[in-house]
Amino acid sequence: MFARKPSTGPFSTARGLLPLIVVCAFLFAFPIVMLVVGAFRNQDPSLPANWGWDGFRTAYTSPATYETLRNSLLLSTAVTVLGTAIGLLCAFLVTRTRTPLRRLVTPGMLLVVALPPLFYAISWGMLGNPRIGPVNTLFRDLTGSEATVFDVNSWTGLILVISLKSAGFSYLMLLGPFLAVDRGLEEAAQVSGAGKLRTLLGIDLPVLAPAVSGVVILNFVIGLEFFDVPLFLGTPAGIEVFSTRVYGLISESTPADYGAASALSLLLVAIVMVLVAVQWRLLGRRRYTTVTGKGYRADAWDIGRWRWAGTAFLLLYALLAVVAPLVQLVLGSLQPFFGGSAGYSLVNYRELLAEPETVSALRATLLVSVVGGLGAMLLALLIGYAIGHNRTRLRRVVEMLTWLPWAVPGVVLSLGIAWAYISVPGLRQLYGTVWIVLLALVAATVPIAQRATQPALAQLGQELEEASRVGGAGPLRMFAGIVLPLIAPSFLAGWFVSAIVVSGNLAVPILLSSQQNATVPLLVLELYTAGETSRAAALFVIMMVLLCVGLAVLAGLARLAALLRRRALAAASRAVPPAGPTPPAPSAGPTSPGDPVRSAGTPQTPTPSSAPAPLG
Amino acid sequence: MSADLVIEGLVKWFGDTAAVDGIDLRVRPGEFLTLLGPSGCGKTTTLRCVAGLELPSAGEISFRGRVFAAPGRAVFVPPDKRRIGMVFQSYALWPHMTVRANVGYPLKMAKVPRAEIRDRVHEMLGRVGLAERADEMAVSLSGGQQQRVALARAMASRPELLLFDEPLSNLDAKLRYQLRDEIRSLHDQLGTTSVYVTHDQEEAMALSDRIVVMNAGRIEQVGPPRELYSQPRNAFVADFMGYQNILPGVVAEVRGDGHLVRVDGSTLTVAVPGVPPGPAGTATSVAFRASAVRLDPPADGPAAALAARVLRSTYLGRSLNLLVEVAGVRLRTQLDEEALGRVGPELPGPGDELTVHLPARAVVPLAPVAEAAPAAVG
Repeated sequence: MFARKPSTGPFSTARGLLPLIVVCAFLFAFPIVMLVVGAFRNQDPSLPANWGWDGFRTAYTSPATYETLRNSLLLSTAVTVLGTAIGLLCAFLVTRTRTPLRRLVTPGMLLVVALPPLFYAISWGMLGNPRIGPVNTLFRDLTGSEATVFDVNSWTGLILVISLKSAGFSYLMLLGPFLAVDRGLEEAAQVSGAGKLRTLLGIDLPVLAPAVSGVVILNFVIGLEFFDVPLFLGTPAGIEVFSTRVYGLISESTPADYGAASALSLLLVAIVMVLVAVQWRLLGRRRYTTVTGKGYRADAWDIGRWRWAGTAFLLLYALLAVVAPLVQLVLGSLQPFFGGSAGYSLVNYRELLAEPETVSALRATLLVSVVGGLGAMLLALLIGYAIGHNRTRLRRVVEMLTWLPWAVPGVVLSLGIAWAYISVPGLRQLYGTVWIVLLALVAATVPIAQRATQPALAQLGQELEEASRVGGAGPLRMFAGIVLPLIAPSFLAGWFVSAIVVSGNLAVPILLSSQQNATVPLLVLELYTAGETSRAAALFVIMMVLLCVGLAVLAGLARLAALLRRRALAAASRAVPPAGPTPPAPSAGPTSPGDPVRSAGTPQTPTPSSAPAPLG
Repeated sequence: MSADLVIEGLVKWFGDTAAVDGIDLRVRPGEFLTLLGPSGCGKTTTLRCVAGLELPSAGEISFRGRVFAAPGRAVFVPPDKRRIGMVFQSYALWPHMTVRANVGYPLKMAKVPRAEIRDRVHEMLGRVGLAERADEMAVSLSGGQQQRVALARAMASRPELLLFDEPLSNLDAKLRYQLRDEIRSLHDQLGTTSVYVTHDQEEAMALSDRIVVMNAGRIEQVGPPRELYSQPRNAFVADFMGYQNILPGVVAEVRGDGHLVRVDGSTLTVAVPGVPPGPAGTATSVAFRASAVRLDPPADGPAAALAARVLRSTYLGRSLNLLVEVAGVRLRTQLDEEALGRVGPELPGPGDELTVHLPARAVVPLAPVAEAAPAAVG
């Protein structure tokens, strides 16, 4: 009965935190350390080492390196400005005005964030194809000219497509702070004689400055790390950025120059870590602020006729970021040849599903997404829970470790993981198997999973757990009976998002998969570069549909289980003579505005950010 | 004297600050004891140490001879093994459960048979008047009802020790009075030992058998409500108990039935009953309530007649609050309706001169705060 090592719960002591630290260090820190070793090792991970400075020499004396550095910075800056601006405008329209259609923005933005970059790369690659892309053919049909108005394989195309995607992140991260702004501050300014615009610029903007600057830095980091879109759209135009150059050093040099790739990665890691540290300093000290029911009032500014301009803007964004790419992907997949006039048919689907290679890739991808998404969510949940329940200094170590996967782009992470696993005797056998891909995908997806679990955990009041402990439940019982059921809706939604993100990940399998266990994104890339664009689109559609159906079935099963359980409980309680008039159905109980877990039941909890939490 | 809950030398460090700095306390069986103090005084931390939600840094906590926590001997019973009940400030009802499931949870954990759980939940909900709401989701109830459910949950498994962590501070005034009475009557019905934390002096007075006034992690005074109200030990307790006039001074003269204290920075001397803290010249302070100062001399007992000049006058309907200056010292006085009736139609205003009387028995001598010995009360 007396505990030898006193603790008030799991993870509350330094010792309780150690296993988690070991796992995090292994997944997140070890690959980066091994990247340094790899930079000196100068050899394919499966071949004996060739120690020396050659990697650094190749990487840092080549003028091409500095060009890619310049390109990356340029691209990142442009994307940050455009993406943040769109996000800010949308957040303003949604929270502060009566713009028609504003209620559709948040679900739409969630979709933008969940859709993999690969999706944007293919669909916009088709839309903006200079010869046969609908943007250009439509223009020609309308005007009768022969000109090409838009070539997506260009700086403009790259910036546009990446900005559309970044806007989703920016919006979701700004939504919380926008909602949390105390209306009293604005009213005070207006009473003091400031006009609306004056209030917006003089009061709201400074109040929101820390949140906005955090978003700016994060967008910059994400911009530096983009891989899929530059690979698909930049390569044809001869635009190389940092991560595609790292990949190129391996895929295009013979023999593959792993040393130079690693040496180059280190620079990117260094730059990004500095930026992340700056962002951490900006936002890290601020406590997680939940949007209180009191602070939010539905009164909006009347912006008059400008609201129609707002709607037009929202429609344009929805067209470019969601509708057009989705329609293009589906229509394109139904064309036997992309841009051809042969009409629509299912031939691509039939042929793809007849190929054993495709079927095995689909199977591998589904497995990796569902299991990897679950793994990332579980790890993120444990990390978030541990950080919230530990007051020792080791807590900071866990926090810092979980920042690492943010700071490392997928290509670099998989390179590091390749080095890490090849150097540990027992793990060497994993190299080339689906398991190493799975582990790397989990590590790469933990940041997104964290964004999904954080708000749910933050809303879980500590007294709910303490009441359970005092009521006689041990730590495990408490976790299973109180914590898990309360965060289950957010957890399922987060699993959904994580699985989709994993399924579309190209950067990890491109370095770690072998021909035998290639995932769908790899085949998509292969088909696309071979010019079989329609077939690439079809394969992508099959994967997304299968995944969504699979996850919907999973979610349905979970719902059903919960429903049955509730029925059983209700039946059990009906066995007693009822105490009063017919009790209302348990699920009918409305949730009062002040209750401790507001998220339970609302499907929108995976919001990768509804508050200025430090993570992007 | 027999004691249920025994706390000895309890210390709790948070980083470099001691939230609880040496608490000794014995709570009697069936007693309702309240920890009272301003925020940050260590009252909640003490309660959480008793609940097992915090690990004490030093000291010992035991209940009915069973050691709950003794860091020196590496003994710590986790909260789920202490068989206690607790009511939280935020109610802490689980939003995914019905009222019935919330209340039945501690019984389920104690492996009570299902049929018995049903009966006992029904009984407890009946006691708090919510039997008809058993199958609603807990969070669909109003704040007051939620706290009643939390009360039923805390008491459902008949714990021998009940802990309350500011359970009424999220409720509005009317509900607060109502629930206050319910808490005390449930305590009496079930005969548990209760420890209650609050920062509300009136709440503590209304509920408790004894009150522990805490400040900066230490105990300032322990006693029944009436004792604390009429005989605060030092300036801190006096201030907390609503003494508006606390004046530092020195012992001027020792008499047979009391002593005189000369107020610092003034020629004003105040008669104080009881034994002086030392010979003439010893530093001391005195306290008296604004309502003790009156316009007419009291019929019984001696009183000092003081010439006062009104500085500020605040009319509150039921009473008139005056800030007056007497021999260079500012005093707060409160005249009730009856006294006002005798003043005449014109209320005293700034600049008016009047004579006020301070009865000697209303004056309380205070010990210096710094020297307040750790209360060893049992």
